[in-house]
Amino acid sequence: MCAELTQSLNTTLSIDNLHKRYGSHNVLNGLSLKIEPNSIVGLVGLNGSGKTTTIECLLGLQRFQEGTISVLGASPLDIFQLKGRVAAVFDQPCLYPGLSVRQSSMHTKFVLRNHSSEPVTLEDSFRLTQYRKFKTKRLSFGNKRRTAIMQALIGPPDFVVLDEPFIGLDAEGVEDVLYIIKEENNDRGTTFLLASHQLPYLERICTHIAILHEGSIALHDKIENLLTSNTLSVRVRSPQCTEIAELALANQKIDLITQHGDDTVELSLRDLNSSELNRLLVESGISVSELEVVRQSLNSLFRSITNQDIDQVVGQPQ
Amino acid sequence: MNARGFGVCLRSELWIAVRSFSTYMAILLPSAIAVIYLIMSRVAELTTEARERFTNVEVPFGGDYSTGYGNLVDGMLVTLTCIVLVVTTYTAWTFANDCRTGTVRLLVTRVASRHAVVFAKVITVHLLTIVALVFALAAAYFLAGSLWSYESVVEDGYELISEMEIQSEIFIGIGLALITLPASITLGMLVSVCGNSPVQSTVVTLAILVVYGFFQPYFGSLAEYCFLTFTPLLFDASYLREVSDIVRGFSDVYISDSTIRLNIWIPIVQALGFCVLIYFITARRRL
Repeated sequence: MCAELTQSLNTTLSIDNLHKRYGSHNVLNGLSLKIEPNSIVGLVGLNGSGKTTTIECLLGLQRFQEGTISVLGASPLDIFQLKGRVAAVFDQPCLYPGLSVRQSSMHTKFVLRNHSSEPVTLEDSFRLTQYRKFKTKRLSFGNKRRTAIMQALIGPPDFVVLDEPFIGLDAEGVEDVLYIIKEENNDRGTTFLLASHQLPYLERICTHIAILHEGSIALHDKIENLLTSNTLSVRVRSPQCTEIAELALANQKIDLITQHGDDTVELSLRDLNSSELNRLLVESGISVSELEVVRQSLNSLFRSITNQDIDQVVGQPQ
Repeated sequence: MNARGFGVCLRSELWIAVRSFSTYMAILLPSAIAVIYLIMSRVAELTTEARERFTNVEVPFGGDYSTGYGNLVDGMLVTLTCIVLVVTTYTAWTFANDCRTGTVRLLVTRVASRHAVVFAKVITVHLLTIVALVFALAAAYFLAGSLWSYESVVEDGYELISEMEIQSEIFIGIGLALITLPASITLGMLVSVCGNSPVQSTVVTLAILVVYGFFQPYFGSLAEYCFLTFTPLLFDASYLREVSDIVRGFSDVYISDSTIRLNIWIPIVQALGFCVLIYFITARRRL
């Protein structure tokens, strides 16, 4: 009991065996996820994989059939008792349309009984100063999103959930949001959960990545562990692709990932580097026109997981 | 019931309300309609009198019976009908709209339980209704007093009904009409928490309020067990409609004690019933 309490205090978010069904359709199928304090976790998944449902369940906005969720030690239906320590921005910016940008932040301050000068500072950070008197219904979608994110950071919260935070933002807006998330994380130790399809942005900012696939977390680890695994992807151009595929079948250190057209294959190498592969191919009498090392990116990792079995992609899935 | 954060929500609702154009509309619209109604009544009456003088043809039930109290009651009836329609549909719209815009999520995730949010809205609408009523009834009272004179009904030198009796019946009529307002407001909130969109909730609420009038005659005595029977509506069966005739001396049918009892208790019981339903639906619905 005591150990559980200690663990819940050391965990910002703990989801255990979460099941959620819409009618007969299973959306979440035993999802488990733990988020440590002071981390930035990217939750990625295909469309309809259940990212938003997970977020809504953990925030107590909808019920689930089975499982337990603890957010900063509180159950989802009681997170309001944490008095503003949890904040969220949803895929649609949740703003009072009749209030101006400044009034929106004043309202958040008012309900949180926060007396700092945060809104003014945050307006500057989000480049919203010139729009402070604009009613939020008159703002562009991108500026609405900036306002919603700004509003979420008032408090300040300990745990921020952002659902699709980069949608509708221009390049400058994305940079601002990335910078502010990083700054809040560094300065205040704020923990972030970002559900997004923008994998390059997540790759730049997240400390951890959780890949949601078929209703559960298929992979969750520190981003550096994920991107520097013992596997290496290479793209080989050769007129003898069939022979290369046969070699991959025969050699346990080589896996064939995909074949592009008649002359290009993508291989996954385990405990083998590109020059060793080149030598192996030449020794096997296979002529190679081009050999390119494909840098492991979150995008390629995500595509691999959502397209095929995890074991083929990374050695030690967690 | 988990009502934590109720105070915060109430303050938040009021904070938003004083900065919202729709709130001012909801408050001032009934007063504006009362003023327009009374002015048009006076203009119509003066036109009738002028036509009478011009043609020497006496129009039945003309100016002789047009006392300040009669017009005051008519003005209040229009005002209360308007308030019931405006306030109930406003309530139906408000929560459903907050769900659509997602603003309800801000409160639920940060400061208050979902029940606190809903019931703070119910209380806020009650407070706005009180303000709207004060404005509207004051406007009707002073305007009717300035356009007509408040006096007893006298026919052939015989006082049919004294000012004291008139005032007493007006108070009873207004009191019995106002007591139905919490039930109307909670009905609006019930539709709102069940609805999927503000438009759907508003249309359903308006339909209930209007369509009930069509079907009420078919319910017979069962209609006495529905609070809408005692509510000033477009197809009105409330006692205030009868008071309008009484204060003009057209009717001497006073309300019975048993009807008063039903008029008092049915809306209260049904409002509480609606609150229980709101509680359970709010606990289960997706926000």
